[in-house]
Amino acid sequence: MTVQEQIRRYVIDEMGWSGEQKTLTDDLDLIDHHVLDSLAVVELSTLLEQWYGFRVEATELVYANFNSLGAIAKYVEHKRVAVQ
Amino acid sequence: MTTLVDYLARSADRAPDHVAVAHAGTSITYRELDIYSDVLAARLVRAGARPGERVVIGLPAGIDLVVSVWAVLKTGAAYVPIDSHSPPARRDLIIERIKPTAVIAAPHPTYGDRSVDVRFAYEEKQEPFARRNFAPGTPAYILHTSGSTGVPKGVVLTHRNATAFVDWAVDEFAIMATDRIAGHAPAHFDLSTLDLFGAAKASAALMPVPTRAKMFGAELARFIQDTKITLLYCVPTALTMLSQSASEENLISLRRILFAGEVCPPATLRTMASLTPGAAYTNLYGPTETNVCTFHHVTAPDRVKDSVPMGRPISGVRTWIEPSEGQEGRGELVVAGPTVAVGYWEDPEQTSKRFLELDDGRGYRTGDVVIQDAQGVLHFRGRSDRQVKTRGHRVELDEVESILRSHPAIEDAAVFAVADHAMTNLLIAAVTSKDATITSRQIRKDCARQLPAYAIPTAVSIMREFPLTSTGKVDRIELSNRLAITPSTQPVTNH
Repeated sequence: MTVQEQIRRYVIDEMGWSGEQKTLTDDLDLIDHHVLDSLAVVELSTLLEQWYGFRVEATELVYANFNSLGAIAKYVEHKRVAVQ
Repeated sequence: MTTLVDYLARSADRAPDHVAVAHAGTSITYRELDIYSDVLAARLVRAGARPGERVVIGLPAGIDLVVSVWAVLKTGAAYVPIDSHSPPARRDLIIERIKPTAVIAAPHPTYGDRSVDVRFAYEEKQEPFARRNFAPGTPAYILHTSGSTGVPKGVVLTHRNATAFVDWAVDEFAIMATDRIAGHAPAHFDLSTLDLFGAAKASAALMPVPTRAKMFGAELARFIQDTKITLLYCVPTALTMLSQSASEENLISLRRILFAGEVCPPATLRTMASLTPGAAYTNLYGPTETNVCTFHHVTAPDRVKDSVPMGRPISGVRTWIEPSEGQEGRGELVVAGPTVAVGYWEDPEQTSKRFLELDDGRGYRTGDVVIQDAQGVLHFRGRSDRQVKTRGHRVELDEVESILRSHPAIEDAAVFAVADHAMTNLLIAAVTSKDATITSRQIRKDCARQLPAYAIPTAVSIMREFPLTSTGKVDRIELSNRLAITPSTQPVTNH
């Protein structure tokens, strides 16, 4: 499963995504559409740490890293490269 | 006697060119706010808005929301803010109970022909609006809080309730026309009233905080720096977030930080103080039903070790303690004075249970257990009921249990609050079910249709049956042992 797919699954199963699955695109703004709230971002960052084995720094909890499935995937890839 | 509407009238007259609201790169002056809200008010009057009626507002934070609030107030009707992202079932329940004459929100079938488009405010062709006079005892707004039966309670607050607090606050915190106030709290949360009305009374600028800045500490820090916020009023959870990612440079413009809604972690205050050497900190306390009723200036926020006291009553308010049996000097806090609400919307039973008729006005039993020290300062010690705070929001555990029990696959439910340093409390649920296919995921998803996100339990354990006490009641102690959790014995709530 790709990073996007894993996070999409999380949004659908855990965040109570009520829309059609095809509308949850990689570039849909999860913040402006209130899909993720501040608790969900903290929860998700903890999950990313567990799934991918890196540490999410407080300074990395920013809109640019969490605004869409695509942005989160990009952030994860960037961190994994840094860890290796 | 003044009403809230006088605040705007005076600012439009005395500071017409001052910025009233700035949001997302656009701003309007007090003159414009006065004109736009007049135009929308005329449209609302045509829809039936007048003293004693209600208008629901379901808009996101921004200029439109502020214009709408003033338009409703000018008609003499009460505004009823609803979270534009709340679950549809909860929103519909509120609309059904409130019976509004108009709804200012994105159109929806539920609103039918009661929908009023906020864009009316900005139309060239204007209907004349004649200023109305009404008594300060007229309801100004109705705010909904968690109700133990599963139905949100609407707290009815009058113009006098609001001005009694705002007049005190503008004076106490020396809010001036040069101030730039962050609008951090959403309109359906009572912290927003100081931002909205304090700014208008002082002719200061209100800067509604964008969604993304409310979610990320680093974004909030940048917003404060970019918009040169001088006064920030928010829940401690937001300060904790801010303290983890802000630099001193981000926060240089802040002169005063007010917090309310829950107990502020001392570590958060110390970190914030180290980042804002010149800023003053004040803890405000008061349930929605009493508005802010006590305050405490934190004298040395950089050295705070214990939780900050609730402090002393604001001017015009009196407080006393109804002692608990066998507990000298400790008991439920009762508040009386001009800030105390009229009661709950169409709920005489709950109103008479919690509100008191006194010779000099109204009183309210807060349900908060407090002590008073030798200096007369009040300190919070817990709750006398099952209300808890999570991320600054008030949640009745009974309401969450009642929603869970209404689930077709669930027989019984028990919800616990577990202390958590980031969120104040986490909600953990246990349910009994004979349905082997039901999952905790599905239950949480189903809860999201009726409960706001903060009230959905973080974890749901599914069991075949609950342990019972010898009298046949659910053994909550044994149940919490099985869940391997330690419930907050003194639920942390301070608002």
